[in-house]
Amino acid sequence: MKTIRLSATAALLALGPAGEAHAQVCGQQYPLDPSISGDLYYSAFGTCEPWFFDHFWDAYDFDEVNWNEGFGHDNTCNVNLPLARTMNAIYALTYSSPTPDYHSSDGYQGDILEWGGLYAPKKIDELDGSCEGPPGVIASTWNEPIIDNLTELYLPFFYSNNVAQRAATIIHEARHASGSDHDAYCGGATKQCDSSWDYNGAYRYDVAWAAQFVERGVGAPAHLKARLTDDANNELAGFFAVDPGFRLMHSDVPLLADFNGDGRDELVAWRPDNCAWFAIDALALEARVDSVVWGLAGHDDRSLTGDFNDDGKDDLIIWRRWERKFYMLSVNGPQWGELKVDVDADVALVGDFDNDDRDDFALWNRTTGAWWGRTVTGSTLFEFKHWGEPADRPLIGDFNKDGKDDLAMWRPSTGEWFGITTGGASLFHILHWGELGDMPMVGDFDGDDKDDLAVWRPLTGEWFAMTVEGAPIVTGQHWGVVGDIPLVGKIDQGKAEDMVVWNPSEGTWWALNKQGAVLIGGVEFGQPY
Amino acid sequence: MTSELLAAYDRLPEGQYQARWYIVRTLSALELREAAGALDSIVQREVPPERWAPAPHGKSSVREEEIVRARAIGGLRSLAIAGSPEASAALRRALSSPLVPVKMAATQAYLAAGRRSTARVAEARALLPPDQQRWVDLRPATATDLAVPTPEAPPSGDPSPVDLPAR
Repeated sequence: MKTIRLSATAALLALGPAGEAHAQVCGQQYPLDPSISGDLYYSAFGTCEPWFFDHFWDAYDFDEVNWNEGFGHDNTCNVNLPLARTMNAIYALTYSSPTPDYHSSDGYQGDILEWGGLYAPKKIDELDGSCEGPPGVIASTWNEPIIDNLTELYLPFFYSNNVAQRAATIIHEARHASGSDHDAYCGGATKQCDSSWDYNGAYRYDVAWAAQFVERGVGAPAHLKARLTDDANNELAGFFAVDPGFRLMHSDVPLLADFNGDGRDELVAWRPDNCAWFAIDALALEARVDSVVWGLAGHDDRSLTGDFNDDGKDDLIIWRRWERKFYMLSVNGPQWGELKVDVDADVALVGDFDNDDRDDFALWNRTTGAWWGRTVTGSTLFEFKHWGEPADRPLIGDFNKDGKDDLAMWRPSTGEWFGITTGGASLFHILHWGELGDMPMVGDFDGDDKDDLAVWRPLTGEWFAMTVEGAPIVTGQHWGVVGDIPLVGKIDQGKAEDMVVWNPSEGTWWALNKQGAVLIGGVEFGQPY
Repeated sequence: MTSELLAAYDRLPEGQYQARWYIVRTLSALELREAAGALDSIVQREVPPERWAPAPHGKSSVREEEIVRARAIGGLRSLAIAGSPEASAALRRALSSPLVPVKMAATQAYLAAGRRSTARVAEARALLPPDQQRWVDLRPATATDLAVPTPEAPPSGDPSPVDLPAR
């Protein structure tokens, strides 16, 4: 990716006659296969159909003269040609956000995955394809005060890069087109780079977009995300004069679940890279689940657990928000199920809301505050038009000991807790329990079969828990260190639930009961980052 | 399966970087214990000389080779965490890689494989020259790190299209 600042005259001379460029065959020795590059996949979204093609042809100011004679203007659906490959990249840049309404925004909102697809066509005045780039150069952007900006894409863009890499290149070049050039050299006089992350240059744009795409991008093939992760880490390592000090690193996701129905939770690790589930007995350390794959890498899946088949044992659950679907698998037999929910929810939670010993789903839309409750077969259990504010943290627990789970909400800005039954009756309103930055949790810390309200303080590792009536149970118990992930679960046979932390740096588990007895001390399980 | 994948890797022309990376990614994701040797051999292979003339921001064949090897390091990392001594030994060897990004990735993987124990951190630090010892302290990017300041909104009345068609 490259930006060259030239004088207006030099820039025009460098362009050359476009027709001449396209008269020659762009002899590419190793064109990237469209199945590996993701072009076959993305073309299926209709990138050569008028609704998409016509809009973006205008938005990026493509000119026919620069995309004919072998570049694909007369064959827009051919994924072996540069134009179709460019349109696929524009699709990935524009439509990878899981936020459904971002496409109708008339400004820049959210993070770069939301606004990148709006920003790029606003900054790139003209997007051309050309055979004539210097060998190995992917793209160039000319940004001059008098002439229109121009971005040229060369052979490596089309034939050495996959769809996601091309999308990252476009956002990179758009940053150049906005007037931000590279301001430093790294590792030699020819390797232009950004002086620092804070410079907010083109490398920050493409690395940040790549990171968001990898983390949240919808529907992208997993290998495109994996490749973009590697590219981003390579850029972080070598394209900032001052190393930003961080990398894209991923650990397993820790969970607690009772897969064998013995009343104690197992330690669970879910690996987002390949969606493999692992579980061990928390005390005997024997394997309970060994590399069961459930979920699809690269599909923004979220791992949950719950008992969906009423066998008294937890099952594996995947929530795929952009499909609005739950996928459930029993680890104890070949039983599985899926549920499509026709609601637009950000958050999915699991609980037994009707006391039938089978878990159900609660769904919440953070923006509108709407709630929906559904059984695993899709029956409606409850619906609220509005409960909670966007920054609130929703939780589930049985706060009145009726065997039915209720809804709780913690408000980080005030430390307030609210609780209601799924029938809408208020259960509690606690004015202050927890500080901004705390992590809220729910669990039965005193063993009375009623869930309690807890927070874990990341900076100090302290736990605080109280009953919903306001009686303190745990006050300032130190358990865990900065960076840990707190969980609540039943580790031993005691009635109460225990305080558990997983350290993602070491991949170690630690559990403490409320009497202060260490139940687990540094069990190594799960992949650290 | 490991030998078939390695043979397929070897059959590919040097310039098919993405396809070679794809095979290494597959070899890594399968987490096959017997793949440690194959991944190690990929990491250790000599990197061919740069195929493209130096150009500001030009594509670099050496960078492509770095990325292929860094992915192999990722595969070795998983195997080493799962307890493979061969993978751990391969990571330790990779700490001497002449390729800076590969050496950096190997440092992180070696630390993860040792679950960042005090002893492992001290060992990694001791193996690195002074100007690279800060790699031991690299951390995962947070959402705050990766946030990009929101650019100024497009001027109202701008004639070029902003609203996007729905998917």
